[in-house]
Amino acid sequence: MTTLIIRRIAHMIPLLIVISMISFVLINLPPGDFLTIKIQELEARGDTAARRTIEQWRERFGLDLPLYQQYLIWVNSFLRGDFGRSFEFERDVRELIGQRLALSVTISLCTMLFTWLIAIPAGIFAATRQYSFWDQSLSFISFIGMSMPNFLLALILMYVSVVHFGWGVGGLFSPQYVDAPWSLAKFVDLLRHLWVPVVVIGIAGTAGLMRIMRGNLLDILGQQYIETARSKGLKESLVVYKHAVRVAINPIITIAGMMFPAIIAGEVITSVVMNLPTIGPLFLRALLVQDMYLAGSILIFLTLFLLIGNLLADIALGLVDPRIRYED
Amino acid sequence: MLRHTEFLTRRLMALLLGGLIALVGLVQAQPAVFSEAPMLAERVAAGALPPVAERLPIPEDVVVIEPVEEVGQYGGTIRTLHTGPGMGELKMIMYDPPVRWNRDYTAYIPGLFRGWEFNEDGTSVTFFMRRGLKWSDGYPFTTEDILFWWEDLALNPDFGAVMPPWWAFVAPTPGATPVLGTLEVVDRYTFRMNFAVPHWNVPYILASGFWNFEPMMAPKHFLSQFHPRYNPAVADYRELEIKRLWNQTPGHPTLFAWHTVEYVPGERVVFERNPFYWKVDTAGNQLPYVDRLVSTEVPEAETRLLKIIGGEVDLAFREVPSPRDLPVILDNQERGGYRWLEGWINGAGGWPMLVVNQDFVGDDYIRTLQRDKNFMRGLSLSIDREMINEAIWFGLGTVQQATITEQSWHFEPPEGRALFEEWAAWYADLDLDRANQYLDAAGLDQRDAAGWRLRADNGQPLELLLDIGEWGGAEVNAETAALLQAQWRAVGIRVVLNNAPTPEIDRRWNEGTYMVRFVHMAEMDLWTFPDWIFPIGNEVRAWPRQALWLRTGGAQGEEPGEIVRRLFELYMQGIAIPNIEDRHHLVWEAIRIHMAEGPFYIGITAGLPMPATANVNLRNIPDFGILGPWAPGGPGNTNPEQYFFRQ
Repeated sequence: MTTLIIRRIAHMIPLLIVISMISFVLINLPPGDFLTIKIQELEARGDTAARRTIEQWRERFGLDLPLYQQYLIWVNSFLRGDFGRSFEFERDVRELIGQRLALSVTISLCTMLFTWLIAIPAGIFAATRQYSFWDQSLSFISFIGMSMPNFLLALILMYVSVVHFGWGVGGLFSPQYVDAPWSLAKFVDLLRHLWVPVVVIGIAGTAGLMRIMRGNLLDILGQQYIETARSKGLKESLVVYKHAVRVAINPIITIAGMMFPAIIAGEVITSVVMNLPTIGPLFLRALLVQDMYLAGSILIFLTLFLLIGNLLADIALGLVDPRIRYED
Repeated sequence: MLRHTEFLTRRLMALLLGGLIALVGLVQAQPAVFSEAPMLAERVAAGALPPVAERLPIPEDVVVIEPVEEVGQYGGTIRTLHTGPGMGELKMIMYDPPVRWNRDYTAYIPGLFRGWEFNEDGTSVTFFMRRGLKWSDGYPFTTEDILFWWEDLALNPDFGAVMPPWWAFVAPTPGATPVLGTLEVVDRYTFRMNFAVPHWNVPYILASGFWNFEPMMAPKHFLSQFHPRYNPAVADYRELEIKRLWNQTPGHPTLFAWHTVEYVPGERVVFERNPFYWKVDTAGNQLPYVDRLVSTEVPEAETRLLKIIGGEVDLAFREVPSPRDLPVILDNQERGGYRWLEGWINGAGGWPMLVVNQDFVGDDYIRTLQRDKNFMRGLSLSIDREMINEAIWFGLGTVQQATITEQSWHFEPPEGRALFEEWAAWYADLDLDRANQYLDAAGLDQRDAAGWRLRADNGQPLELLLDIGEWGGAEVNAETAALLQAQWRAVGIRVVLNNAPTPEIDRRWNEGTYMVRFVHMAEMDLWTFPDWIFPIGNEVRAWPRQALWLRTGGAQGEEPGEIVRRLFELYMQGIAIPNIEDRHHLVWEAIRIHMAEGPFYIGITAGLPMPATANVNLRNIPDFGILGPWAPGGPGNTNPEQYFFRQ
C-alpha cells in the first residue's frame, strides 16, 4: 500500500508538468493576448487613448517574448513559490488565490459529503422498496436533477430566494463576518450560506449516484448468497446493510473519485453565477481576458486537487474492500 | 501639520475673508461660515483634524456646488457594484479632473484646477491650481506632485506603468512623428506645458472621463517611499506599480470626495469621505454628504441584476448594461426599495447600427460597390426600424438614422439643431420601392431565379458579409442581424452572418477585410473624440486603410480620397481655432459631407433609456443624465458628492 502511494505521487509530477504545458498552450490559443483584449474593453467605453497606452505595456508584461520563453519564466518562478503576476489585478497570483482556493476546496468537500450522505441512503431506500411510490418519486426527482444544468438551477434558486423570500444573494458570509477572524460563529455562518451552492453543485451528482447505488444494490440483492442469508433467518436489515450494502458500496467509492472533475467544474460555474469568493469567478475572468499566469496557476492547483482526490479514493477503496490487494 | 495657533489665526482670516464674492467661473455667493460632517467634527474636537476652514483651500478657490434639489444631510453609506478591479464605474462617480463637463453637458468648466490660459498662438498653456487645496491626508497638492508625476513616473524610462501622456505629443506636421511637449513649474500652484505647434485641445482632453487625469494624481509624499529614486531601501519598481493604484491601496491619498480605506482583491472596496475635500454646498457645508461608498465586485451581469432587484444596491448607473432588463427592474422597485432613474439615457446615436466599410480589402468590386451612395441608401431604406425597435428594445428606442448623440452641444445652436433633425431622418424611412431603385442604380439590377441580386462583374449573387461581434452587446447584435437578414432578403440582398469571436472580428475591422459590422456610437464632443466624423487616424471606423495612411504619415495604408481629405482638412481647421465653441460650424460641414456621400453609418435605433437605479431615499440626483459615452463623465458630472440620504 505504501509503495502504491509513493508510486502514485511520483506519477503526479510528470502529469502536472504535461498538464501545465497543455494549459499554457490552450490559454494562449485564441488570437491576441491580454493586451488586445484590454484595449477592446477600454475602447468600448470610450477610452481612445487605450490603444496607444497599452501597446507600450507589451514589453513590460513580457508578452512580446515567444510563448515557450514565457512558459519557462513562469515554471521557473512557480517552483520557487512565485506563481507570477496577474495582468488584470496587477498583483501576485499567490495573493489572489490564497484564501479562495481554501474556500473552493471546502465547498467541493462539503458537496462530496452532501452527495454521499443523501445519495447512498436514498439509493438503498429506493432499492429496498423497488417500484414503490417512494422509488418512483426519487427516480423522478433524480432525473430532473441530472438533466438540469447547475448554473440554471443556481439562477432559479437565487431568483426565488431574492424575489419570493427576500433573502440576500451571493457571498459566503454575512456582512458582519466577512472580515472577522475565524471563530465558531463565523464557521456556523459559513455553513448557513454554504447550503445553497452545495445543493446546486451537488444535485446532479447526487441524483446520478443515487441511481447507481440503487442499481448496484438491486443487482446484489438478487444474488444467491443474499437468498442464503435470508433463508438462514437473518433480520432483513442485517441482510441489507451488513451483506448487500457493504458490497454495493465498493463501486461507489471508485465512482466518487470520478465525480471530482464534475464537482470542481460545477463549483467553478456555480460560484461565478452566485458571486462566491472562490476560485470560480477569478478563473473564468482570467480565461476570458487571457490573464495567463493567473489562469495557468489556477489550472495547476485544480489538477493537483483532482489527482489527490483520486489517490484518496483509490486508497479508500483499498481499505474498504478486502478483495482488492494492490501488487507490491 | 499646522500648529494650533496657526489654526486660530487662519480661522479668523477665513471668517474675515468669508464675505468675498464667488470664485472663478461660478457666480455663487461665497458661504460665510463652513460646516462639516458630524464624523469629522468629532475628530476635530479630539484634536485629530484641523477645523474645516483650515482643511479647505483659500476661500476664493473653494468650489461651491449648488445642490440639485436641496441642501442635504450628512451621513449614510452608498452600496454599489463594480465589474472588475479597474472599477471604471466607481471612478466615473468620483469624477474630478482638472477641467470638467458641467452638469447639463453644455460647457467645459474648471474643476480640480482653478483655470487655464493659453498664450497667443496656442503653443503654451498655463494651468492654475487651487491654492490651499490638500490631499485627503492633509498634505498640500502643489506643483511638486505634478513634477513628480512628470519626471519620476511618466518620463522615467525604468518605470513602465505610467507612460508619457499621449495627449502631450503633437505632430509638427500632420503624419510626422509626434513630439512630446515640455512641462515647467512656474510657482507652487502654477505650471505650464509647451508644445511645438498649437494644441488648443489639451484642457478639453483632460476633462474626458477619468483616464487622462488619473496618472497625474500622484502624491509625491506618499509614493516616494516606494520609489527607488527617493528611497534607497527600495530595489525596484514592483511595489510602486501596485501602490500607485489609488483605488486598490488603502491609505493612498486622493483628491476626490472619498478615499480608499479597504480593498479585498476581487471582492470589495470601501471608500470613506475625504476630510480635505475642496467643495462646499451653497450653505457652506463641506461635501460630500455621504460618509462612505462600499462596492462589491460582481463580474456576472445576471448576479448584478439580482442584487439590484434584491435591494442590496443604493446606486447603479452602468451596472446593468442594457435597457432590455428594464421590465425586471421596474417590477421590483417596491420590494427592492429603489427607484428607476427615469430620464437617464444611454445617449447612443446608433444602437445597434452598422458601419459600411469604405476601404474593403480583397475585392475591388465590393469596394467600389460599398463606396456607392446608392448602395448605402438602398440598404438603409429597406430596414424596418420600427419592427426592430419593438423586437429588440420593446419599443424603447428612438427610430432614426445613425448620428452622434442627440444631446451633443454641437446641436445646441439652432442651426445645429436643424441639422440634427435632418441627419436623423436621412434615408431613415422604410420605403422598399425607393430602396429597390437605389439598389438597381448601384448596378445590382440583375437578379437570379431565386430573386437574389447579382454582382455586376461576374453575375454571381451578391453576398453581404455581416460581422456581428460584441460591440453594443452580443445578443442585441445577433438578434438584429437575424432580423436584418430577413428584411434585406425582401430587396434581394443575400446576407451571410459572421459570428466569429471578438479577436477575429477586430482583426477584420483593423485590416479592413470586413464588409459591414455592428458598432455602438455615442459621442458628445467631436474635438476630443473626433473619430466617428473626422477620420484623423486614431481609430478605424469606416476608412481603415485611408485612416491608417493619415496615422502613419503615409508609411502604410492608402492615400486618402476626396471625402477623407475634405474631412481631414475640416478637422485641422477646427483644432487651430482656440475656442472650442467656435468650431461647431466645421462639425456641421463635416456632417453634411457624411450625409451627401453616405450614409456610411446605417443606424437603426438611438437614445434608449438606461436601467439606472437609486435608493428611494438617495436625493439630489438630476432627472437627466447620459451614460453611453464615458467621456463627458456621467454620472460624475452631476456632482455625486452632493447626493445625500434623506433621513
